[in-house]
Amino acid sequence: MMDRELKNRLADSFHAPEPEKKESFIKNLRPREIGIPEMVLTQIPYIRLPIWLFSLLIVAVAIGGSILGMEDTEFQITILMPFTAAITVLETHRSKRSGMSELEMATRFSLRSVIFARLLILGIVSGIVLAIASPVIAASFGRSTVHTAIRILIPYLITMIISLIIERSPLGRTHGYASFAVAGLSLSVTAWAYNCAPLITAGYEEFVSVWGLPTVIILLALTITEQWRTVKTVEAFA
Amino acid sequence: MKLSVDRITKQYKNKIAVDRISFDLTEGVTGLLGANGAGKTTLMRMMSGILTPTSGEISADGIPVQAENYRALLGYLPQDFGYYPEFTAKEFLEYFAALKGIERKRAKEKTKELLELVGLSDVAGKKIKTYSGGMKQRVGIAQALLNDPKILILDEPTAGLDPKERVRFRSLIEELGKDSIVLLSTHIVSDIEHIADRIIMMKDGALVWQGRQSDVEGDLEEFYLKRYE
Repeated sequence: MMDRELKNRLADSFHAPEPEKKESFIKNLRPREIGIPEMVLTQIPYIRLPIWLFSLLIVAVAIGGSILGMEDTEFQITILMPFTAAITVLETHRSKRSGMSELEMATRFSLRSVIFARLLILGIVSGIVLAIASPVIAASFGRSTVHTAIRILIPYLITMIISLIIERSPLGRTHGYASFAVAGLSLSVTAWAYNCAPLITAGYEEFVSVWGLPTVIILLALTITEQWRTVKTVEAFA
Repeated sequence: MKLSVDRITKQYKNKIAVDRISFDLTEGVTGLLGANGAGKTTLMRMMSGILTPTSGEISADGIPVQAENYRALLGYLPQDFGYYPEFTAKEFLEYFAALKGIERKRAKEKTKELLELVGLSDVAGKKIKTYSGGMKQRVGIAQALLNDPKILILDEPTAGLDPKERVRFRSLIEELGKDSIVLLSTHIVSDIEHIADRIIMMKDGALVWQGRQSDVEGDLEEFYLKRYE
């Protein structure tokens, strides 16, 4: 065994050579393979703080309302969730709104991947919110978790579908916040039915218990189709 | 590396923005000259993969422009660009480093290095919205260099730069042209006359002249103006 002092003296006497053509070597390296999950993860830090806070607010309303035994907790979540759909749609044209789309289109992960990643992340976040809110509300007020989730999901998905269609239309291109108008309309209709039209509410209850699940499946399929169309049309530049 | 542009055309309804243009580029600086509306930006957008040509092909060593591998080689600075309002210059560069698939540690090193190169280290933590036009343009230039591009496409890169910054920028481009293909568009001849090895001239969407700058007899500006008479 060489003793430490000798090792140090040898290291001092024979310095490692300076790297030659380091820049040229780096340039010629093949780009590292990066999968979809890693690409999606890179986008998480760039989702804006208000979006996370709004999702947390919905969870807080669900838990707080359930603990306090507030009967209209489910109604409140039902009218709030369409706004998460509106925010999600708003995120799809954030690049264009900020003038970043041309730069993002020319990167290795093009703008299409960025939009896909944002839709996926926000979809997962909404799924988590729903997965927390539905069982908490259902357990607190003695309702079915599946039916609670369906009642929350239907206006959310309808808002998402309509907003995505509008966002791709000339109207959506000129009115960046059109998705919030759709969420506002959903809120108004739900509030009107809940407060002023007990017959409609009762009919809707019956509809959900019989047709709720197939309706959600159809709406989910339509949502995925519209999201795919949005991602596909992202790079139709100029 | 060889970047091939083969009979590229872009047509909008009844207007031909770029008309059957062909050329090959290798390492070095190429200046793309033309008046406003000549089709330079459309051509550069097609070469950056953000605009689909009506016909023709673009490839780098056989890699088509639409491929992820092509974009991995590319650095692009558009004529106009925006930024997310909450971004600082450092965050802006780190964001693009992520989109360019650069590993986080390398991205931080590269961001620091490029901010120093473009003279923005001391304001790296400030929001871009507080920057002057020239400073924003320097952030854009830094962004284009993040992935050590082998193909660098710069659309009017000197716009907004003051005379001192222009001089610094020219020497930077000259240096980059030693290892990379650099295509730089401008309508100001002096921006490229001392640094471009090759010149491409466009008028009304068509290529009017291409060749080595050394083939130009006499003054480049006069030669350029004659092409447009």
